[in-house]
Amino acid sequence: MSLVEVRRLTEAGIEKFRKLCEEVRSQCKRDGEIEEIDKWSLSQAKDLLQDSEYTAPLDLDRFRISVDDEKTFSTQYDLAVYLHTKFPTALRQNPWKKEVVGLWEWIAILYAEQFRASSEESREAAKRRTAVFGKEDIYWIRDQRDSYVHNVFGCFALYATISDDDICKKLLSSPLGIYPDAYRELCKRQWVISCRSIVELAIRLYWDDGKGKWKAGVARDVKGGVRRLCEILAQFDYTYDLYSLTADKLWEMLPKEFDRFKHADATMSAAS
Amino acid sequence: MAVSCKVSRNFNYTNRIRIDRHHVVIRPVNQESQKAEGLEVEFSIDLQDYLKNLDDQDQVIAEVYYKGFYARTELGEVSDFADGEKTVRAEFPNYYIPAERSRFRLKIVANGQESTQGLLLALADHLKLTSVPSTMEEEESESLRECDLLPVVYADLGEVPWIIDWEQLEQTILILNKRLFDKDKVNQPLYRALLLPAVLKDILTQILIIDEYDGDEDRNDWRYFWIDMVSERWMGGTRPPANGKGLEDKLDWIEEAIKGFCERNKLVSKVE
Repeated sequence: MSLVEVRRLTEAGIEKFRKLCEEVRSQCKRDGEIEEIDKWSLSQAKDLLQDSEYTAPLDLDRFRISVDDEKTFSTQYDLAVYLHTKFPTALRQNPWKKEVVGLWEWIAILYAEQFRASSEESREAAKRRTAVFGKEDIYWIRDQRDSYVHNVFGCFALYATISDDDICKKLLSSPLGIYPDAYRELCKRQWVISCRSIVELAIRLYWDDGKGKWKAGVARDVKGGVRRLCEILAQFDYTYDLYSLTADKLWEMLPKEFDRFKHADATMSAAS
Repeated sequence: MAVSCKVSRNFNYTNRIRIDRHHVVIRPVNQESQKAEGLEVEFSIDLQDYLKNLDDQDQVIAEVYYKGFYARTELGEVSDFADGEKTVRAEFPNYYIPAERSRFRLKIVANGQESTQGLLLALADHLKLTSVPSTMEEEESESLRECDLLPVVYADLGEVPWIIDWEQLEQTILILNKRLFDKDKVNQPLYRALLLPAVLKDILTQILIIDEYDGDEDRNDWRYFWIDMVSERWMGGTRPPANGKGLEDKLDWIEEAIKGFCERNKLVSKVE
């Protein structure tokens, strides 16, 4: 174990990190060797972590927080739980606090090596493999809609939003930095991801308990898929307050096109 | 030209009550008196005209939204509003879009019998902060600016005065030829009169005729916001004809919308 005090990137630090990521992407485009790119970019990014020119102490109600920089996380859930045990309640209740701007990027750099695809990555993930700092969307929170795919903030905020531990384990079951399409479809709509009954319904429909992952192809434009679910729910929203309905009730209301995802072993009685 | 048939597509099988906008006043909260981060506003609500159709235990819910952003809070039960107009504070702790840019919704939701649980009983939608100025002058300047829906950028387009960039997934972008337009010119009445109706027509044609967008689908779709805004502001709440209707019906609706937009903003009078 090697404890380090948590800091945050300052404005200058964020800018420096942004430029580093841009340089990485530009080298990737020029077909640079990924191993080499990772080596120098990780080294430069890690140098930022304790540099007082680019970072500042985290001042959260005078809390000083330390984390283990050698800790490894097999899933996003593990990272979320770990950070929730470290940060004070105020931040867990509101991860958007202005005082923590630059914190999520700082932690992302601290554990950056772990955002490489794991050795058990899928063939699809391997094809998409890029340099550690080459995955643009997982390092920057451009707006709230993107926030759930930020590699640190995303899992932290989702864990804070969804109180059901079992649901969280499923939503955050992927390795760090990997976001299945079904997860993205659900999370980019705030009214969907913040509604417990809808999330529960989506898990019942699209989560394969046997394989421990999302069913294949559910996020594409298919009948009864995740996108279609969001469209149907938007229509229900004209007649019902969806937050006042249970997942059981929503399940009953779904049209026939969703029958293909309603397996016999996922009946509501079994689920509840 | 076919005679325009103004039939609203907002079916209301559940006899949902439409709460008059004048019965819901929303004011900003003084920043110093804000209790928490996020958004806080005051709702002054008068439910007297609707009480006979509501039960005491039905829930009063406030929602705030802007594009994909969304938050909600419960304001109490109908019985809390039984003695005339009442002012309550609505806190949306995880919502960071300024109130001026957001829209609000007030819902009364059934909360008694199991069979009707969650049913939307009454609704006021598309509400704005009451303190937002609403003189014609300001309405006009808002008409394009509101569009954040339609960001404007300036570029050298050769001999082409303007184009719309449809390639962005989340929204459209109006590109003005910088040799012809600048920020001052674009606000001059003559330029506005010549430019804006054509732009609006182009956008509505793309949405309704080329995309054959239904208008009632996913609320996060950029096209939903356009149809919603045009219907509410310039078509007196009349939604566009359904896809099953003929092309002429859609063209008529677009023409009526352009006319409504021009009249509301007095585009010609302002040039004279």
